[in-house]
Amino acid sequence: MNSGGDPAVYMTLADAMALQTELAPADQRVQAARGGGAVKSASVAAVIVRVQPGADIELLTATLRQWKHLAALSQADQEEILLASVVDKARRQIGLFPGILLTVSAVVIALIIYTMTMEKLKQIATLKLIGAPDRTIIGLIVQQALILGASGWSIGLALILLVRTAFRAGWCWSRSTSACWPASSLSSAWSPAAWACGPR
Amino acid sequence: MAIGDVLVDVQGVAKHFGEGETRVDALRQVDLQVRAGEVIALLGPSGSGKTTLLNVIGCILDPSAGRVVLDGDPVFDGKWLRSDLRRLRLDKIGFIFQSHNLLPFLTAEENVALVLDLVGWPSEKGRERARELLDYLEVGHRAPVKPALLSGGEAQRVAIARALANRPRIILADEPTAALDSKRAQLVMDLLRKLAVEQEACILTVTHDEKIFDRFDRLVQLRDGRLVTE
Repeated sequence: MNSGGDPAVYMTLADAMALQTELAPADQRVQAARGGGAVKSASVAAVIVRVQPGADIELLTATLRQWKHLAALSQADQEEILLASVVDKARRQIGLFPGILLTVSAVVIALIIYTMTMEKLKQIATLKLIGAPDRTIIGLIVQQALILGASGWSIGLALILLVRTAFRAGWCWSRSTSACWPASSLSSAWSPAAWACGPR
Repeated sequence: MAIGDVLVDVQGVAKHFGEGETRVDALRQVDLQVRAGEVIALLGPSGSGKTTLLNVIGCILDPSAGRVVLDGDPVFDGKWLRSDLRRLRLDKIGFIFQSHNLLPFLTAEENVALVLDLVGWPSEKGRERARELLDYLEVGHRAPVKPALLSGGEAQRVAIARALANRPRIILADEPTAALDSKRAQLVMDLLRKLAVEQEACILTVTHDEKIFDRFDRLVQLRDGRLVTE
């Protein structure tokens, strides 16, 4: 399975061509023998090349790109594509959770502050009546909101510090079953010094 | 009793709520003068305009027409003549309500000192004055206590201390003795009278309590928004 989650098979070029020609359906081969049509010519989507250590990969890819119908990607290029697509997509999805949490929390906190302010309408009216300026009243509400926020933040931080080790243990377990993070498969798949891909 | 300058001068004040068929005339051509040292009771049935008149004098409600002069300072003449009504209330007017309306998160002393803090008194001096007033009103021993732990009479006396803290010359009280027994009510009225004389202030009180009528210099009767007897 490739990094995008699609099934993929890696084999030599000779095997790939044999698969596409010699193992064509029987009726197709019969038709070819009768002269009714050629067996479908072999086609290859991509070729993976392992280069000698110390080879100039930039030169190799630049040379391959001179054929306008070919594309050549080094390992670095592919890693970049992977990061820009799969990893970036995952990062955005993960980043969405704090975003949603933040929005929901903001709405809940705003409602709490609104309710608390409404409950204090009589006291606010008293303050206005005895001549308290608006900034004093707003200051009291902001002070209350800040105390509420600081308390929530402190409790949240304490909870994180308390349970973070448990989360780390869970992550390790998941990793050992190869279910959580494709880092190991990445390292093995991308281990050759360079890859060059393109249709032939 | 020595009667001094005119502190409240209400001339031809009217106040109506709503328009057309729903129009309610709460006050109609009310004229009233109150002098320093006077303690006046505003009487009348429910809906006669007593609280509305108190709110107009306290610069809380806009009159629909008329002229209001407080402590020689014209504040309303068809429109408000001052933009800083908050400051006017802070400097010249003290409010006492039927329920004490003390701020529950402050102690009795802090409730009184708050007004002085708003005026700009130094904190220490404000607390000293608050303690002095609470002692005078015989609730000094309850100064560090929150309002929830005060009895009705104690809380009302703290509210009176708050209303008098920065020596306002106009004190407006809306049924200040309604939550008190008759003994406490008479005590509170005696205190108000004494303070009015000492601070050269005037006191306008809305009340229905006949037992304290003898504590007032004048009884002003309102009916359907009009002054009917004085």
